[in-house]
Amino acid sequence: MNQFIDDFYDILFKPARGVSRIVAQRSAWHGLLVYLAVSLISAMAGYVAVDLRNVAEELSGVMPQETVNLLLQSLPLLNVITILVFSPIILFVWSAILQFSSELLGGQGRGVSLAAGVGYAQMPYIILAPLGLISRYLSMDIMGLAGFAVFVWSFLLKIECIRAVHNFSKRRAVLSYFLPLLATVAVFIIFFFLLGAFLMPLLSELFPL
Amino acid sequence: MIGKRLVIAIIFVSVVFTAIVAVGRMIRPFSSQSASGLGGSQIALVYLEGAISGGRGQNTFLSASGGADAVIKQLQEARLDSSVAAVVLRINSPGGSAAASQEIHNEVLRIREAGKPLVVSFADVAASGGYWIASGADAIVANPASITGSIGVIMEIYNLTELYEIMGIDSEAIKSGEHKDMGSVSRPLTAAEREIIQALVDDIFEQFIDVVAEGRGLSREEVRSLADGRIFTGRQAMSLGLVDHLGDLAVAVDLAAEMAEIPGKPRIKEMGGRKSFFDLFLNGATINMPLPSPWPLKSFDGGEILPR
Repeated sequence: MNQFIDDFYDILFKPARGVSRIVAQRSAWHGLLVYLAVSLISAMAGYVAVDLRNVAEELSGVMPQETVNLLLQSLPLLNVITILVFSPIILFVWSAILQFSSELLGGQGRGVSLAAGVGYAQMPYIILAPLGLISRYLSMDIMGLAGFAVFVWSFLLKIECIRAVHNFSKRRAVLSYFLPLLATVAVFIIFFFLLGAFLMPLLSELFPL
Repeated sequence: MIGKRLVIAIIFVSVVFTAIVAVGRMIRPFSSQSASGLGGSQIALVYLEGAISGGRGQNTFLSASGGADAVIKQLQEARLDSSVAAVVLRINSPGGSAAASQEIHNEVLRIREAGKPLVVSFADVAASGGYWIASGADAIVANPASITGSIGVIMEIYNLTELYEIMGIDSEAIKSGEHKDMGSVSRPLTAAEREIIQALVDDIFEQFIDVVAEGRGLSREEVRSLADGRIFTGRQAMSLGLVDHLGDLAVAVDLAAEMAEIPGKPRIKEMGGRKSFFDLFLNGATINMPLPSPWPLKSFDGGEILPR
């Protein structure tokens, strides 16, 4: 129990110490368990924060009221099923991609350690639970801002994980995190450039000046 | 260690509490509603704040200018929404463009034609164009100290020729007709142009008189006697027949509920959506952007005024 409290507290408030202990001592299954729990809690917080009457008003225009009520009642259950099915896939695929990009940059750490770290790095989303409750009683929607803040917090923890697992500098860890995204953007740019190059002669034939 | 345990305990308790609330919502998604969820009628609450101008308005970083289109859109939504039985239009505006006021007034009339009562509530001020719009309502509720009236039309034209001379600026207009640069700041008005503009102002004024006379059930002469541009307090306006009731927004809501024969507590649907933190930060006040009150507003018989 003490171990769990230490992990929980340190990853949130003493990230350097917490992350290095988690990637060294916790398994990928621990990471998955935390990832699942936090995803379920943050989904629950979102369900609590949203004004269901507004959702119902929107939906009542396109389906009967009974169907709307049934849908809103079953929404959390559908959410739980989606999280249980897709969260493990997301965590492991995401960790694999990060591991690959880290290895490309010279990293030699273990993928399972990274998966454990990425799972625990989701921990800040647990803060959304109290904020979701508070948001119910405010006329201002704070969940958007809170979500963004938590996203940044979680992102910084993931950078710390990559750094700890692969002994990277912070700069290299950030590059490793964004490398898949940069590669995807580059591929799209090249694709559209080539597409344009091939289509240009065709366009000039279709629309002669 | 104690601090650590306390933090964990707070988070754990809030997670458990969230879970309880979530389960409660699963069992009864509409705890404050009837069993059928949205059963019963609602009162749409539309805000009109700031100077009235036409168009969509513009939002830029840290500033915004209002446009009538947002208000009109919300009034249209309220008219077409079958769950809305009555509309309360909350006005806090010193007036503005006559054409934009006319457009909003037309939408007010359409709501009444659709069989939905429309009650206007005055906040600090509902003068000139703000009163033009209000005069189309089924009933007007004003605070005793609200400022209203200013029934009239004004058009200001500046003549900056002397300033231009000091600054060494010379402008020349190449125009297709004699009056094409009428109102230009670089020359004074001619007598003929002054007549044209006066006729224009008079025509809009006559339209204003017609609207108020028709809307308030007064004769044109009665309205004309009040329409020298002066302003009135809500209490003065009531004694002159320009306002029906004295009271605040909650009084207007209750009156709308009574007119629409809504049984029990009326549920208020605030049109225009719930504002996010970013809306408040990035946009200034617009014609249709009230800052949210920190707590839900209660109408007199307990109905909640909730953001949409």
